Amino acid sequence: MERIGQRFLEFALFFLILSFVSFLFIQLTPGDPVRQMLRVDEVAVTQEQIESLRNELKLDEPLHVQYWYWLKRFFAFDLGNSYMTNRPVVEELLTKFPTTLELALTSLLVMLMISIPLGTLAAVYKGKWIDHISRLFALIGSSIPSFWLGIVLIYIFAVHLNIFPTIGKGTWKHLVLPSLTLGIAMSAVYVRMIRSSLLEGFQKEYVKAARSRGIAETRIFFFHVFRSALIPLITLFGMSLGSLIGGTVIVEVLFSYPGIGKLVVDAIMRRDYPIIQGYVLFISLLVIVINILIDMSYLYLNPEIRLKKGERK
Amino acid sequence: MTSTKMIRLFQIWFPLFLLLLYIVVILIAPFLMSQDPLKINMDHRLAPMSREHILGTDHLGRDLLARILAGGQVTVGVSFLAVILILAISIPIGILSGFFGGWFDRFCMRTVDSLLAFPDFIVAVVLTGLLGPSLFHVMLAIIIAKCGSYIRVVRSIILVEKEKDYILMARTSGLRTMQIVKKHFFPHVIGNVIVLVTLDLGKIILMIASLSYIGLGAQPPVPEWGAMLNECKSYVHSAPHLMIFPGIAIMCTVLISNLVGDHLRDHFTLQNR
Amino acid sequence: MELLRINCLSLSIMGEHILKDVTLTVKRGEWFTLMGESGSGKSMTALAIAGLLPSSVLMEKGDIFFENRNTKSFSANEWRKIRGKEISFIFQDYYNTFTPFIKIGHHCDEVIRSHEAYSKEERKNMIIRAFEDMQLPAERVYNSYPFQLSGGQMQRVAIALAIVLRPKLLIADEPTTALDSVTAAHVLELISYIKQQMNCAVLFITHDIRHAKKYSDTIAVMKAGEIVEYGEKDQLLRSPCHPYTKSLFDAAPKLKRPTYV
Repeated sequence: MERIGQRFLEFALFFLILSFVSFLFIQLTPGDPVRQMLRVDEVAVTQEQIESLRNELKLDEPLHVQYWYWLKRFFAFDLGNSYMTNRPVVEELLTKFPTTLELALTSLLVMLMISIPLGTLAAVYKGKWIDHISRLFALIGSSIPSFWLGIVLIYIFAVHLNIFPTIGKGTWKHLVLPSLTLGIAMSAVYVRMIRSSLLEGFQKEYVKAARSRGIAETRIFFFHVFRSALIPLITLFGMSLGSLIGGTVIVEVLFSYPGIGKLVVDAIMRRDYPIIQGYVLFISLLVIVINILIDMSYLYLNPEIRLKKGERK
Repeated sequence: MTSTKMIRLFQIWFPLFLLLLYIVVILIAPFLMSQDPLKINMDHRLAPMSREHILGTDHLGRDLLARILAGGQVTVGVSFLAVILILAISIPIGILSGFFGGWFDRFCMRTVDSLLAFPDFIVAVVLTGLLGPSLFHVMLAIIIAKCGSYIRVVRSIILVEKEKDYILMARTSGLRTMQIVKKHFFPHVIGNVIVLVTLDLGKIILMIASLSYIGLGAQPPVPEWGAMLNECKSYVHSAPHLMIFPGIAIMCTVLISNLVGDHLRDHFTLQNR
Repeated sequence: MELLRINCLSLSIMGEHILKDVTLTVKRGEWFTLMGESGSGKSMTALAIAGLLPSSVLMEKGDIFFENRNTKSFSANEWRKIRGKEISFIFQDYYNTFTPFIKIGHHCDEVIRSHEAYSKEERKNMIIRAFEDMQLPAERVYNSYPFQLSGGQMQRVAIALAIVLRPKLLIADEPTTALDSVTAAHVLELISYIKQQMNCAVLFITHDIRHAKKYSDTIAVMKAGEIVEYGEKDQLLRSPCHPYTKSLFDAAPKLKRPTYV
């Protein structure tokens, strides 16, 4: 339990530092935020309007005062408004996040459905043709850019066969191509990892011992070998979290899928800094939470860690 | 040198040499092309493969093959440059951090750890977001994102080697610090790092292509494989060759880089033992 | 009455012989000791009997008859049914024979479930009884993970697991080599006790002559993959024929008062 407490403390500190750094960044960015917000170039705006907004945002105050106000708003969950739509950043992020989450989870599902069977077969039939195919798949899969895979899939399924839509969100059909793209791209790496984890598991002494007790092979595989491979796999998953997040960004842009990935890329093109800042903070929060979850899963999976303080030899 | 040792060295360095050769070819090839990758010719837009334009033309009538070769220069060149800069920055910092320790080490480690908390793709996205979309910013972002892990690796190698007896001997026999670093640490570090970097080269190429694809990297009219795939989006129906060839180019390059990296990793770890 | 008969068993690995013409017979309920130094092939013989030879080992010739059935003809399923129930194995490395994240009770439960269809209650009772026979704190051990037990406890759990289904043959591959002498003595006493209780045969593998002396009925000495001496314990100890056997006996440390000159 104290581990989680410690983690939260680290996270709070990290977040504080992060908020300060991103605040600084906003200050350093070129352009005048007020002019951008009022779209001075497009709409006729009086000097008074500019002055009043500037006052409201306290942009003329010294830096530390500004930071203080920023911090106050931050803890009130107010990250400012988007320059483009003028809606609160928090609202934009929260409305679009479920979409990205849906995409990420479906892609993970696809990835597991491909890599677990393939990796398992490659480990069990090591050296046979299925093993070589998995190797080829892994090699080529990790050399293909995910967006190219997406384009090819669009070409096959949408253009020629006209089954699935390629743009936007709506029915479950819209989810198919994007999640297939991301899922296949990620599974290329995972197939090899699963294979090597399982092979290691096969070598363990307790597998031989279980066999000597007359326990069925399938049972040994699922309850002893596979279970033992879970911890390294979860570790690897934690490390590949970055590519999952990056992957959703690319796929969302490719398929015009309205999630937070597309949101931030559009924001970058349009210099919508509040959104960019909001995205960074949001993602860091997400990464930290997921890492905490992963740590907690270790506790569950590895009783030795859990009971370390308890009885020992 | 015994013959087995020579074969070993050959096994390690030859694939690396091939990779470097491939990179050099990519960088030089455009100069041998006759067609101009930037020349717009609206009469010939979206032309299929022909004798004059071996791979056809794109939506602005530019020769595709020339663009792909020129794009190679950009994509591979920038990746390679990024790799060199990453090494140039992280190796010295890693050595200093590991060798001297103290406050410098602690400071570096804290910074690196907080940086590593971010997925590297996001760092790239954020940096380009704040500085503006450009190939240079993308390269900078990738360098910053990747340096962290390399500094760590170098530092950990140094930490392990530092305690070994032969270093103690060198120090007690009065060798100057720089000499120790150059003669003893460097070979160890370089070997391991080159293996890592070859594996990473593919990832860096993919990152640059991906970032350019979503518009954050190379801006038109710069030919870059990822950007070219972005441009072809609307013509998937009418001119599929536009999307096939740049993709194949990326795939081949990353594939070769990954193969060499895998091979080096398998052999280098064996030799290390 | 004959339980196990090995006829001229020869094994090889990558062309090299590791067992040559091994022939022996184990009777029901007898304590058979297979003795020899490391690499003499005793463990391989044991693995061959239980059908646990690694795939790289080739059975060049010979037969193994268990209860007059030729084990060469056993299918994988038949082997699975026999192991744990009729032939049980105890390993030297007790710690690694248990899956670390599975509780001891669950391990034992699994073994019983793989062979018989008892209810959960009956299974637990069988296991608790087996633990008590092994002089273990039954309930606590039942709910522990492997890393929470001491070496001696774990080996006793391994034995309990091996005998819970009352096997006909218990193969013990150097079960006490990794234990301290006090625990080792205790464990051996327990094995002897079980043998008497259940009338199961014990194929005991060791390199320690003292164990052989104390408990065996029959002893076979192995060297470099061959049996060099084979006979009833008392006869062998009184008059060993083979020079190797003689040197083994002589080399054993004896507890004698030191003679000062």
